[in-house]
Amino acid sequence: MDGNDEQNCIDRVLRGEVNAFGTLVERYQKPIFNLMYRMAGSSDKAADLTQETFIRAYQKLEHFHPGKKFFPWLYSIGLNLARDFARKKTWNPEAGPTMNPESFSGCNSPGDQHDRMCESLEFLRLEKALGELPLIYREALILRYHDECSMRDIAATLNLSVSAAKMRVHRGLDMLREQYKGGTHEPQKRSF
Amino acid sequence: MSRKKDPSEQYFRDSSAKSDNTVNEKDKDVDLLALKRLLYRMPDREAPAGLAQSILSSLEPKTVPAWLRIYRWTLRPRTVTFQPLKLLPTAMVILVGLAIAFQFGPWRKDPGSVDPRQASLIPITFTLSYPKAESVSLIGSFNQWNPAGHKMHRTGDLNTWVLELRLPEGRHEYAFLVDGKMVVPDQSSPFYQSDGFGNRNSVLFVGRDEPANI
Repeated sequence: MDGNDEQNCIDRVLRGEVNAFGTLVERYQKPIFNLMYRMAGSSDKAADLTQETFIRAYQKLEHFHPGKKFFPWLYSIGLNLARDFARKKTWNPEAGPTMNPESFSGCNSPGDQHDRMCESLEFLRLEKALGELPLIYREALILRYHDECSMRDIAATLNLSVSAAKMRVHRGLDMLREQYKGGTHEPQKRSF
Repeated sequence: MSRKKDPSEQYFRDSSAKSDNTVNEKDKDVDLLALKRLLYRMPDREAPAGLAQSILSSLEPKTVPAWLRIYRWTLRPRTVTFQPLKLLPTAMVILVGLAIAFQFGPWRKDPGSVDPRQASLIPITFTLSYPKAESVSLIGSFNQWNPAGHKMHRTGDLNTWVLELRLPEGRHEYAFLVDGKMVVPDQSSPFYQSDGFGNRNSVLFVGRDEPANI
């Protein structure tokens, strides 16, 4: 789906076709759900926050500027909701990523299982390190290196200049490295 | 989910065994590259099944005023595409139309008409008798004392240098530049003006009643 298709969907929604919004939901529910999961640490809460994000985007859809990209706009709405959620929530340091034993069930041999387990541990370690970063740095890194967004889109999402977005990504990567290596620094106080 | 094993990740598996905390810049670059790859490959969680349907079922159809839809339509960027070959006939028609308009329209120039600016200029013939000169140029306030383009020509008897110019009405100062180095005033001019450097410039008053030959 390119920008024109998205714009057509939005035009149809504004003409009263609710189902046209479904195309946008299907397209972007996964990154928004993952954003919320990183924040909430629970599938149920992440689903609630994802739903709230899309409903809020739907309500404000006539304010979306034609010609801009939809995803950064939607993501910035999600980020605001995530910040609100984080302010209300008491952070539980024990809550964090967990390993899903089902992810090893398809392995054919003990060697495969070992590799998969090591890989999963790597990702768990990465998620834990990401979880220790402030939201703005964490999401800048996810947008850049996981969702492969351009710096311009990241800047639009985080409401920054492009140079500030570059700085945020650069600094976030350094902070993630420190957290990932672990042991040398105390986890930072979470800030949003 | 099967993934290709990334060799750079091995670095992190062994990194805890490093006792040396002074990591040089090269090590840092390796760390960062490995982190970027891990971030790229980090698996996503799937959104719960039925989430999209749940979202849509909670939405009411929007009623946006027509003026807002029109306003948004005007804001929407558009891409114009064209094929040069298909555009060629249109371009030809436009060019022919323009040619006809300039040929027969109000912009057409009458061959018999005279440029009003040229009509207001008065022809003046400058002459200098200097048989020994190799070259003579006319310099003056009308050409910013620049000899280029104002070279005088010998007459048939080779004694006199001549140049005809069209000058606007008013006062003009001038002199002759002989052989590119010697400034000679016009001996036949009754009026002179010092140039402040020890030379004299001739002064010419051009009007409808003035004689046309100097």
